[in-house]
Amino acid sequence: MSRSVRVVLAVTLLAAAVPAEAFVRSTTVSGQPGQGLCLYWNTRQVTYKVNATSAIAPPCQVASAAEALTAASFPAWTPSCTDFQFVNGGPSTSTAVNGLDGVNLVVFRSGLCSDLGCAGNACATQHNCWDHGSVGTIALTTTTFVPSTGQITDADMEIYGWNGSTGGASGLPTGFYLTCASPASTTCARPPYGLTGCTYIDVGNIVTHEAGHMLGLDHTCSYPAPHDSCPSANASDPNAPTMNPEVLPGETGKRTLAPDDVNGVCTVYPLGAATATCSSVTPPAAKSGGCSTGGVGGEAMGLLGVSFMIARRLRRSRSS
Amino acid sequence: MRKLFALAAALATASPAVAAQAVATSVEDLARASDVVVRGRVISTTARWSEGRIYTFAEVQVSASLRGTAPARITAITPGGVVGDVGQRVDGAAVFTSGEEVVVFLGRSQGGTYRVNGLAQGKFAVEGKVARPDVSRLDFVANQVRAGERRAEAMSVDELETRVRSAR
Repeated sequence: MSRSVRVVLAVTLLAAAVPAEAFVRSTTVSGQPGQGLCLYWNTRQVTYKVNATSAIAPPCQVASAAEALTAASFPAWTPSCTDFQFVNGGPSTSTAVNGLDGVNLVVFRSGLCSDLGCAGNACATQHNCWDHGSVGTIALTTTTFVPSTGQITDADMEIYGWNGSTGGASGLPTGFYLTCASPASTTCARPPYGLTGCTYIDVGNIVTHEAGHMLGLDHTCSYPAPHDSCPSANASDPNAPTMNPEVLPGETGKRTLAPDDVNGVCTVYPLGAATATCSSVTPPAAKSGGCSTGGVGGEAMGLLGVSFMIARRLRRSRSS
Repeated sequence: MRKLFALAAALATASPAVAAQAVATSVEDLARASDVVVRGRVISTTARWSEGRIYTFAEVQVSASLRGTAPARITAITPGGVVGDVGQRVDGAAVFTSGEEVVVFLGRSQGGTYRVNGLAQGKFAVEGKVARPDVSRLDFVANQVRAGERRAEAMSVDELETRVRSAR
């Protein structure tokens, strides 16, 4: 085996060993990670407030427990490789999701606005009800940004909890049973719920995931190439990213970041270095599409490119 | 050497392409939760502020009413959009594009407007004979749907319409 072949092989094996980036950045074009500009905060300290006391039935049966677990969940996004930090601004009684107020609110809602005969943000604010439909969604993050730059100016998180009703016309409870124990000990069949057909959700799990959206990350394992790299789509796998969109009832695994999540926050907000905007992190293959991170393993492809360059230089040196 | 490079490239770019396997809401549940379900074409989209939030108002020219009674033209509201120098992104919300054909699950709202039910699960884009929701931004709870029902996922338009019409 010639020297050039050995070098290429060695570098290539190294390239293959580098884990592909899977994290995906949110952009100004929702649902299109290859279009628009990446979203980012221009500060490394983002203050949030929590309202767990305005729900009809307290989340986790005790609102203070939900507040405490919420506060304990945000710091997961400050691993040692970043100086980005969510700062706990304390409890709030606000129920207003307002993209212009600069208050980053985590609010636990309960009951359907439609059951109260009203709709819209004013209704949700007045009654602290869920205004995003009766089916499917546990939590929702609304991120307000400057379209021309991608800079985030406000982020609010709404969580849809059980309202204490033992079942509506459908016989199913309204909202999701929120739990705070670790591991989750409360299930649908246990008191105080005692109902079947419900879904119980760990507050830490869902807050940590939604906090990833608040800082500017999108889902992993959800998009076609070049954003299709996926460490694990199985929520029960400890290597599955927090930004994986699948949630298991009672799952607590998303409280802890996976290596890909750490890579994501530290790539966007590297310790002691400038925030990565789209242009500085766009892989060569996706430059024309605007903002893009994750997907194809950029580092691996970079090393592969190096191997080609080394081989070419070796060939040149032999021929000269 | 060329073969080696080809092998090297394949090794370096190999990555698992796995989709989330979670099950969320069934088409039938969406239909039961909706006042109207229509098929039609998006004529226009307009984003505007409402009480501190940005909503996008999509005008849909209705070609068929699959459930409930719908007017010939209906306004479907979804959170998020861009107004001037402010944008709002709501992960999980339906996104409408002018000109696309859609099947949408709607609940009555104020002023004769309708809101999309189930966020992105409540809007299917019709392409040829296939209808497909864009659920890439939704968090899915791995629950099972009822026997005989099917989750909101890509399927033939005929099957989607049949499931909507037969939901009780």
